[in-house]
Amino acid sequence: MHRISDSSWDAVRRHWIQPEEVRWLQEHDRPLDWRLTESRTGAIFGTMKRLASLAIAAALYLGPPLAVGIVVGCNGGCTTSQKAVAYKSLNIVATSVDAAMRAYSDAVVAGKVPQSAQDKVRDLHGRYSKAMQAAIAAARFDTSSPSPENVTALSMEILNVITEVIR
Amino acid sequence: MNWHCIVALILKVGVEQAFSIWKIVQEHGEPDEAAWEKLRALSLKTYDEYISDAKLRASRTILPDATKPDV
Repeated sequence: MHRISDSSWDAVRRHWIQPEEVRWLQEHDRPLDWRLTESRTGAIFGTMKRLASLAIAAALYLGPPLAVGIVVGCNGGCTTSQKAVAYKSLNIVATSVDAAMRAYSDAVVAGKVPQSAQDKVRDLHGRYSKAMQAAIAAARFDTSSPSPENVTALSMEILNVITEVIR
Repeated sequence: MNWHCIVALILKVGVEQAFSIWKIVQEHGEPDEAAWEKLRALSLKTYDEYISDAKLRASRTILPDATKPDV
């Protein structure tokens, strides 16, 4: 459990942190000024950071011509709002999948992809698309609602399958 | 995004893709409605639309010997 120093209690008074929040921060081993630098709810920000990590993983895993993601968010001095971070993260994942799908469809048209792989990618892309639409709606209209975790899993899976197919 | 991120990105995916990612990262302020709609449109693109676009791209491809006169 995170110990609270006297100066931190000053922060409590200064920033009007509610007692319930103090308990939550202690239980999750977070410093009291955590909410000032991270999101208030934490959930969506964590999800978005995971999406950004996914994009970085795609960057390291996939070769050209597939698009990739890179670090979204900021290290210190962050002024970007939660919604903007959500937008950037989702945009990078969507752009990565879009570029992968373009490369994949070129391979399909060139007759380089077996039917079984095409069926698999079709199924995965349909599921990913629905999950991404839900994530966009969640981020766009309700910033306290975390994006569905399956966007991360499905986009990673689709990128993996496409990489295997077109290599 | 610092310089070694940019260099690593360019080396990995090329200048064009790195630039598109860099543009997303460098965007400032709240995304407007048009930006959200653009993202939504990207997510609505179906599998069949990707294949149709690829067929269109393939049909537009000029073969290297297409300009040679028939003998």
